[in-house]
This record gives sequence, C-alpha cells and structure tokens, in this order.
Amino acid sequence: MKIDIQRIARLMSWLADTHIHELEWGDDRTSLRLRRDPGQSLRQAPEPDRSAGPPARAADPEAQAIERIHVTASAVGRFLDRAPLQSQALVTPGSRVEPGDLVGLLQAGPILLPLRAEVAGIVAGHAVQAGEAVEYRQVIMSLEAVAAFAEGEEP
Amino acid sequence: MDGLGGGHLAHGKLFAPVAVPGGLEVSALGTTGLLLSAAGELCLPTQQRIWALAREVATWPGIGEAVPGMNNLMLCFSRPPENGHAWQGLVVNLQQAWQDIEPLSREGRVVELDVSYGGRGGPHLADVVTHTGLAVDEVVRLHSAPLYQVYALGSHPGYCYLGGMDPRIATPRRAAPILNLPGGAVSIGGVQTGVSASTGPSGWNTIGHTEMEFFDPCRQPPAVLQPGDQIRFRVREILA
Amino acid sequence: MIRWCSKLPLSSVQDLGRHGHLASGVGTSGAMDQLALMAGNLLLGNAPELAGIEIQMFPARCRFLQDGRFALTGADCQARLNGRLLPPWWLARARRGDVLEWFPPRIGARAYLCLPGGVDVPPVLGSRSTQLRGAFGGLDGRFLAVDDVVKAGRENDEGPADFGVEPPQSAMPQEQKGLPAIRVMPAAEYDAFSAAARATFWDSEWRLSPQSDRYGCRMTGPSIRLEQPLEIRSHGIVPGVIQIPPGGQPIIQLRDAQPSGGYPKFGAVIEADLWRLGQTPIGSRLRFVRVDYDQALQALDENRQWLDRLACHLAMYI
Repeated sequence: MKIDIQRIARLMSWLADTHIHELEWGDDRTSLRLRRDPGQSLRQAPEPDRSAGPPARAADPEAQAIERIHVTASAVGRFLDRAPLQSQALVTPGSRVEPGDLVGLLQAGPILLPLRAEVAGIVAGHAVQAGEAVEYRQVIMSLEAVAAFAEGEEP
Repeated sequence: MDGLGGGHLAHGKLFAPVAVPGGLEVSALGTTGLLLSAAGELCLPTQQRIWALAREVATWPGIGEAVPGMNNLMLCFSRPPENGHAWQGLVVNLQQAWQDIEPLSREGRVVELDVSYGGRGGPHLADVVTHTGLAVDEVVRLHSAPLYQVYALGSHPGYCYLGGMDPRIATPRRAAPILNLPGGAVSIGGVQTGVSASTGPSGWNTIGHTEMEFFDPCRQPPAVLQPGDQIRFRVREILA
Repeated sequence: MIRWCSKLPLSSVQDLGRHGHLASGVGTSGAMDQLALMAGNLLLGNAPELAGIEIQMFPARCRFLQDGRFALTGADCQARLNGRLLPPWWLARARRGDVLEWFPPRIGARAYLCLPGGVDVPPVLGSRSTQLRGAFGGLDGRFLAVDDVVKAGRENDEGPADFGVEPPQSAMPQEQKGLPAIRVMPAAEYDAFSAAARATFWDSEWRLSPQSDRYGCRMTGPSIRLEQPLEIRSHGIVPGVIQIPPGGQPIIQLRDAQPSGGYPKFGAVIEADLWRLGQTPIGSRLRFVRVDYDQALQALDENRQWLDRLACHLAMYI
C-alpha cells in the first residue's frame, strides 16, 4: 500500500468531518495512524523522544501525519544491530536515516544481508533485540517518515 | 587456549637429533616444511650430496620444492604429512635416502667478475681488516684467489651462496644491517662470501662492488647462475 | 577498472604467493591476510587465488573508471562509496566515476580490494604477487602510485551485490589471557634457549614494534637470549619463522622476507595463523601459544572449513 501526501491530506480532511478520534491501518510493511485531539483540529500523535535531533516540527496550526514504515526481515536469520566486532550500533531510536541507509544486518549462516531504510525518517523503535533470531517478514524495527503541510492548503 | 600444547607435544619433539653418524639433523618449519642439516665442516662433497638429495626428494609425493642451503636442505610441502606419525615416517625415509645418496657432480660454467674493492662500494673493508688483523692488500688477495663454488641460491632473486672462502678473512655479520645495499655489492658474512643481486638490506660486511646481472624473471631459468657454477673475482682496483 | 588516487605508499597487488622458485632466491610474497583475499574473491564469484589489492596505509582512495562490482575485506576501514558508509567484508556495486575511500581501521591492519575476475596484471613466474626486491610481478614490481590504472580481469561484470560475510576475527576468535593469541610450533634452535628464556617467550605480552611490515614483525618485549651464541649456516626459511637476533627481540619473518637466513630459530608461527599476524596493528599486544604439529594441521583444516562453508553459502546468492 503506497501512502502519499495527497492521500493523507484527503484522509485527514475526511476524518475531520467525522467523529472518529483515531484511525490506523496498514499492511505488514506500512501503517498509518491519524489521531485527533478532542476539540482541536487534527494534529500529530504524541512524539517519541527525538534526541537524535531531527528537523524542527511545526506546531499547530500545521497539521501533521506520521507514516510508520516497518523494516522487516528479508530472510530467516539473526538480527544484528551492527557489523560484527563494531562497537557502535548502526542506528538507535531517534536516529535520522535517509533512503537506502543501512539500519541493521541479518545474519544467515556466514552471510550478512543488509536491512535498509526505504524512506527518510526517524528510527522509532526496535521490535527485536540484537542477536535475536527472526522469521521471514518479521518486523524488526519501525521508522517514522515525517511529512508536513499547513492546514488549509489544498492537497 | 590455555593448556593447548602447553607442555606436551603429542608426537614428541619435531626435531630429530642425528641418530646415525653422518645423518641429518631434521627440524620442522611449522606445517610448511622441514629443514635437514648435515653435520661436519662446510664442504663441497657434502653439498654435492645435498644437491643429489634435493633432486631425488623433489619428486616425492607431498613435496613441493627442495631448496638447498649451505650444507643443508629445506623441503616445502605441497601437502604436509597428515599427522605427527607420518611426519616421523617421512624423516626416517629422508635419513635412509641420505645414507644411500651419491654425490651429484655438476659441470657448471666459470663466471669471472671484475671487482672494485674498497672505496664507496666497499665501506666495510676496513672492518674486515680490523677484525682479521690482515692488511687490505692481503684481504683482497685472499678473497680473489679461490675459484668459488655456487653452493645454493637464496636470500633474494639470483643471489648465490658461495663456498670456498678462505677462513682467514672470515668476519662476523654486523650488529646492525645496512638497509639499501645496491646490487653488485660483494660482501663477507661469517665464513661466507657473496654478491648482492639487487638493492636491499644486508647484515654482511661489504668489501667491494661488481657489475653483473644475476636474475631476469623473463629468462628461462630466471637465475643466471646455478648450483655447480663457479665464480672467480678479478681485482679491477683497490680503492682507499 | 580503477584509478588509484592515494599518495601514501605500501599498497600493492598480491595473490596467494609465488611458489616453486625458492631455489632461485625468490620468496613467496603474497597477501598478508590470505583469508581476506580469498573471501573477497569468493564474494565476486572469482577463483579464490586471483589477485587483489592489499592496502596497508590509510586513508586510501580510488575512483572507478567503469561500472562494476567490488568486494572489500580485511580491516574494518569504515569505507565509503561516494560518501556513503559501507559495511566491512562487503560486496558492493560501483558506477563509473564513483569514489571509494578507506579510513584508518579500528580493527585490523590491512584492507583488501577485490575486483571481478581479479586484478589483471601479467603473471610473472606463475604469480601476480608483487616481488619488491628485484622489482617484478604485480604492477611493475612496485607499490601502487597516484594515477595508476588497475584493470579487472572481467570488465563486463554482472551479478548481485549489497551483501557481505562474517569476518574470521568474529567467526574464529582466539585469545589468551585477554590478548589476541598466535599459535607457534618450536623450531630447530628451541632447545638452545634456556628454560627461563623459553618460559619468558610463552608467558609474556609482546607488542608489535613500528619497524614491522611485510618483511617481518619485530616484537618488543623482554629479551630472549641464547645460552651461547650460535653461528648458523644460511638455510631456507618460510613465512612465520621466528628468529632471535643477538639483540634478543624476536623477529617473525613474513611474506616479503628473505627466503633464507642464519639467525637462531626459536619457533614458527603456524601457517594457519599468519593471517592473524597480518591483521595485527602496529603497537598492539599479543601472546604466543605453543602448539604441536597435529594441532597446527587442525588449524589449517579449520581455516579451510571456514572458506568452504563460505563458498557453499555464497553459491546460493551469486
């Protein structure tokens, strides 16, 4: 399922006309969550810790949406958060990543497969620990792809 | 890894002291090869037996190359003996082959090299004089008198280990080697003498210089001199 | 095809070595870390014995003159392709114009760059390794220089990329009392050293002196002395032989060493551990561990099994 800015904007506009407080859906690779605080116009869900220093987020009245992208295992193996013998993890929660950045490795026997970010975003959290065995398509971590636009703008 | 091989070799030591008179001292060079040394004075008849042994053993299964040295022979394995027992068995066979071997007499060529003794090309001639107590002219005379036998090649491409140097001009290797000795340097190290074939370090005492190409990788064989050839040094000049 | 862009010396074309010419005074040369070279070749689908580039001084840089894949193995140099970080021990794809950079490694000492079909230089005396003394083999018998163009054996390279392998330092760790351990077999003059001297060798920490290179590892530590001086006739030696010169500081002869020598031999680093020495940085410490012939053979088997397993798994991807 591909989610783009125009679609998010249309969803938000539609949601604003309803009494629905929070909407989330997705598939095993992507999820989208829109939440509305009662009495306020739609804005982003509570932010996780942004200690990695992402770009400043516009506060109200800009409406924002979070696209959460899952990083999943492309094979059966062991999740590694760094190359063998390295002392620092490739990414930690809050790390900013660009499309294509390496966010982890999957060890299958002696072979190491890359886990790469598909979008620009912030590492939100890990679903498995370094060293844990993972199944094919198991969610390893999620990234928050951030997109912002001003309220009232035509999508 | 503690305790692994700490005090006990599973198959005993891998050096076999001479068991029979005239036998070889054999020792391991890891799993890569082994070293066979003949006892007694450094001499040509022993070296001729070493050449013969090298030629025979080079064809044995598992032997990659047989490399003569000065009255000794290094064997490099193409396939090491499969365990310590097999290694010992190989040593027994080598000792037997050594007992039976006939000296290999090689009809080589005689090559004459013109040497400028002393001067900038022979910076350590004075040290040989000091150590031996002989005059410069005498050192040069004793060095250039013999017809030297090429015993073996080693050290660097094309370098010849020579036998036949007069023990009166023997001078120990230097405490600190020279780093960039040029090709053509004529040197004395202990009881041996030799000529550098290319630029490189040397711990020997350099007494002169000669012009000669000793090695061409495109030539067949690439080394110009072979065991069995002979060298005579001719005195071109003696420089202060 | 790449253009070498580094001014720093000490990088050279090496394969697994030149064998069969010791009797002409020609040493083997060859890669200091053979496992790294072979693994890099296997990643590319090359025969494991093809030549690669060994890099010993950092930073280093090259530019790709054609599209193609490459493999990086050996020391973890935080290498970057056009600024983007590559994992160590990795197979990647480059486009013409891409710049590849290596930085001083935190782990290991020597990095290897493998190209599709191996580095294409003419073999001399059966090998593409660089013979520095005598100046033949490799690229004109010398270290790589700025603007050298190095060709790959296979210019139209296709195949998968963007995966890697677990390095042997991780798969086969080896330590003794907290330090990297190198296994050694006694050699001919071992018994000529006193029991105290021998114990000192095995029990001590040893540091790799700055005077260490492809010629030899000079170890800094306690003095190891003979009971009586020995003058030994010149004889053949092989990489790994540990000589004790009069100064008492051991020298481990390595790939560019003279193939013969006359100093007393205390022992020989086993062939299976030479790659570990090749990845020991200057200034770092290690310990020696005594092993016997059978243990040394077993170690060779372990290395071979590591490579075989790698080849077997890679066959599923390439």
